[in-house]
Amino acid sequence: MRDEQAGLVIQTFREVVRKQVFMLAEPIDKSLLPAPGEDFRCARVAITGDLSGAVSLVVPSELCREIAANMLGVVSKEHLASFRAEDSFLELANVFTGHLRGALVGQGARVRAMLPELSTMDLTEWRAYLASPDCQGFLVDETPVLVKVTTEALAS
Amino acid sequence: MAFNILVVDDSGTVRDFFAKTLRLAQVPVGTLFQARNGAEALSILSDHWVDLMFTDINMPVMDGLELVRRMKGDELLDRIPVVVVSAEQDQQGIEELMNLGARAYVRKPFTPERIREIVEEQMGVSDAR
Repeated sequence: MRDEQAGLVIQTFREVVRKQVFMLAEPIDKSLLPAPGEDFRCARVAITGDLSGAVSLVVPSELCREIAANMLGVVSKEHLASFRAEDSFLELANVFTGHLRGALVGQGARVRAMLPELSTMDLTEWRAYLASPDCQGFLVDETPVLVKVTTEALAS
Repeated sequence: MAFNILVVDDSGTVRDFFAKTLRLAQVPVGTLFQARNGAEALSILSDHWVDLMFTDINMPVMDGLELVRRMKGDELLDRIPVVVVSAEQDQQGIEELMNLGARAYVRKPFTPERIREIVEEQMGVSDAR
């Protein structure tokens, strides 16, 4: 990831996580990320237009429930937090992509974000994401999170 | 006075969050209707009176743009104030929706204060609590 883009990703992710799910996101050197567990969720949002590519968030599955609990103002053990866990995670990816799109290309450009898609990941896939140069590591309330942004500007 | 409000968003979390936000903002709500997309919203609008509608743009089945376009073509539905709620910052897309008749735009994530402000503006009341 280019330095300028990495800076925008860090700034935007921190802000959206703070305002949307009331959690703290701190960028961290990927080599220092703690052991993340075995089961992960990936939310991927494809973007098309003047800028094309994809924005992906990868989190340990348990974090989805915490995200839902924080958004809905309930404790994470409540049924509602489990019920809305994946949907809340997708919404976080959706909002982050919308804000990042504005930060990367400004308001005038025509860039459309597709509906976010959810998938499961195992530790092998997590490690593959971790190794990507387009991937930035974060700690979100002490939980490791990966943010991968791949973009390609339309040749003018 | 209580308002019938329709929230249109494919995310159940956002719809639940709206319900919580309206409570926190102390907006007097008669019935809070919920729809997952534009088609469901039109179905609700055909059977119930709604005072104010909040809609997302990017949804499956029928998006917010098409929903507002269809409402514009209906004499009764055209009178319902529509507020666009989205994470998008696409100025052209927002202008397109405003030209179709949407009254305001709220960017996600939003606060109870901002929602109360919007309800007061659109319903023409100085204190909606």
